[in-house]
Amino acid sequence: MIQPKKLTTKMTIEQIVTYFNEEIKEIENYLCITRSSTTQINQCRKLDALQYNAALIKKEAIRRASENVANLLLGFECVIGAIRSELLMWVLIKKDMPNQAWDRLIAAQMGYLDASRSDKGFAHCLKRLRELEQIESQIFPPQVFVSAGFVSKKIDCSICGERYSKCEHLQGMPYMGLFCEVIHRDPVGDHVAIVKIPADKRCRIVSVKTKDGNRDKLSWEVTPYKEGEKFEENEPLEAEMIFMSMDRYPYYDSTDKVIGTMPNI
Amino acid sequence: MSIDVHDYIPVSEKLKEFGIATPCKLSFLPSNLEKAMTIGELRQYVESDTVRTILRKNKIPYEEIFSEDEQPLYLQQYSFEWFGPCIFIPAGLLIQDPNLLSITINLISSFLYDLFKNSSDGQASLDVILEQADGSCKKIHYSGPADGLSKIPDIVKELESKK
Repeated sequence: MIQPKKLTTKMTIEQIVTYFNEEIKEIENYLCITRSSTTQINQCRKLDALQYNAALIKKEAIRRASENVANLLLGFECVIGAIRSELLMWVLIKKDMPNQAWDRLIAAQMGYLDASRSDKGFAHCLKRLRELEQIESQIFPPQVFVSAGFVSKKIDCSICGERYSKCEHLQGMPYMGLFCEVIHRDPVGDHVAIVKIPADKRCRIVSVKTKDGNRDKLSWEVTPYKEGEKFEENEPLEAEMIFMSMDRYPYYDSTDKVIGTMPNI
Repeated sequence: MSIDVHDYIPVSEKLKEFGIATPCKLSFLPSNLEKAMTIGELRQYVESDTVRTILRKNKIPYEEIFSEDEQPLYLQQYSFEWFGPCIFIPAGLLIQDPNLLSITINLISSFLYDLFKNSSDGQASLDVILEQADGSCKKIHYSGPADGLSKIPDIVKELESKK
């Protein structure tokens, strides 16, 4: 594994920030389509190690009950994950895998947005988020997004485990290095709707039925129907969609988790 | 951005049908109170609880219509829009405390500013039900950028002055 520079336990906060910033700045040089895929993957593995280091320091900050430092490290974890997702997006585009590349693009966007929420020092991440939104509109065709709605009897807080209405934590805000999320108890599906701006852009129509087979909305490739599948003219349009994605933090996925089992990578 | 003001069902009558007393303080109504035929049909947005916490942390008094174990089901919609609660202002409350609604809206706006970080996609929707002295009600529905929520108290003031 390619390791980033050594991190010592005696570093001050300023030194830790400088350490992560310098490592990240160097890796950001690889954030464009013309860089070789091999070097980009090498940088992703470097980010895996960097993220591990960020998690270690965060754990120590949590042990010391230092919330500001823990939230700062949470921000670095988000940024590291976002950059790795962005690098993998370019790798996957070059490997002719647009659906997987799309998921990485969205993971990167989520990472930058979360980073900006984690600590004031990451406000500049919104600029990168805007740039990724431009890449989305320039590289990928427009997508049709879906949003699922469901109801639940009780909602609890992910930070303290209490009823969300009774505790002090607010959904989406950082607390001691973790984001507060709402945990739904006994959820039941309510509806699925087509929306212009979804919470999660991974939730979208991925293919539609045509007379020759299922047409992928990104690659435009048509996969012939399997036995028993058929297309009928003048019938309602049938489409395949992802209406819910359970992984709230896709940018945390390691390089191997994303490309480990993919052929030719 | 859109702000719609229209007549709403008399809340106290509707709550009475369900055997529930009308609150005297600011409170949160189920989002579908108008159409629900039974208590079991009632729904509230998850963000109702977020606003409860914001108010509690800032010592803004509010009243619960339902007990802890009888809360309406929580509705979660996965959109980049923040679906705020349906805030009920009983008749006369704003005479006692004229700044209550504007303080509440400011606190919500401040939270949304942190949540969306000025993202242009960050949309919010919120309902305010204003009860009149005769028991009739007006609904102000807001949908748009989070920073536009501040327009709601002005509209409510205008409605109050027309009485």
